[in-house]
Amino acid sequence: MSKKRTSELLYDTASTLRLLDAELGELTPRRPADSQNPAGATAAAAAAIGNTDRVLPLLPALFVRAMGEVHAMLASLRSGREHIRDAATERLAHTNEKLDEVSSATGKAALDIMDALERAIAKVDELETDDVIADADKGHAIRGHLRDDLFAIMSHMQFQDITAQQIMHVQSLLGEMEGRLSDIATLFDQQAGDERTTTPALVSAARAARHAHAFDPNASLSDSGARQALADSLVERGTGGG
Amino acid sequence: MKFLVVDDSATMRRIVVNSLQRIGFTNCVEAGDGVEALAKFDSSIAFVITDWNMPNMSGTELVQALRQRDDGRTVPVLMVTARSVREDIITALEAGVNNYIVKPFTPQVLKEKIDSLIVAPAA
Repeated sequence: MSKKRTSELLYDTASTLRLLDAELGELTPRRPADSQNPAGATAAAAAAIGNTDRVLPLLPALFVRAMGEVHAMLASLRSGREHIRDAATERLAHTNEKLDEVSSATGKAALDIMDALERAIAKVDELETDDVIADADKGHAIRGHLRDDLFAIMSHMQFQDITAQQIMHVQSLLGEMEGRLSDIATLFDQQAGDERTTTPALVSAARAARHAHAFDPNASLSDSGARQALADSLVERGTGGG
Repeated sequence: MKFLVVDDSATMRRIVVNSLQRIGFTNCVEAGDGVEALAKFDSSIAFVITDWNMPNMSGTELVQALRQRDDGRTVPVLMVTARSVREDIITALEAGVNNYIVKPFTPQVLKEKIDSLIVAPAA
């Protein structure tokens, strides 16, 4: 149910209940201003009987209308509860998974970089041995491997791009949750007659909107070989090669 | 041979540019999104390497815009992106991308894809 429709229902329900309250109020005999005045008491009783005659036929329809609107309002509240549950379970679980991916991606990249650094250090040590100093070809080969290892370190830095996209995805999920919770909070504000109708600045939502096109929600460091193979097969098919 | 390298990640641009230099291509121009790339593109650019997800203008939008230009109609375009869902790859190819690399990539894969497009230029 949309926020606008829910607000309309709230408004209608409140109006109907106010009308019902007013009609019921008229059924209640008013206490005479002066209880010692029998003439006044009689007039009030007569007025109450007149009101009862007028109001009673209206009440069944009013009760049916109020019940319908209260039912609709309850449905709206149930829908709000579903939103909260979705946000709290599915979205938060997904956010948690993404953060786990970021954590494991940075951990794997750090280990890969450490491995490459250890290999590079070992090669620098090897370059200083008498055996290698005496053999120019051997030194040349080791320097080539050292260059490869240093370059591998640079390649491992791609993890930063992938994890940045994963974090932007988490930000977008947080923004979405913030928006839903804010909508629900606004609903309750209106229900409570709160004058504060302006929504507070949605920080996460604004940040997520800025990065809306700058990330892939499925960005991952894992299975890059299999994913590249799929791309290769589609490129080959797309270019008429197979 | 002049390359245009387009990626909103400065880290990725440096990795791609360094990889290109390592395989012998030292003439590179960089851009942070599709809009900047279109502004920097001219007939001297012989090869475009672009990311997909970027602010302002995506990689696929950039390729579509290039294919509308006389000087960009046949330039080889290699997409380097984290997107690897089948539908995405097909979308990129339909937009006019000539070859596709999934991040993270190795310099060897980059070299193979560039070689394939230089040896057999785009039609």
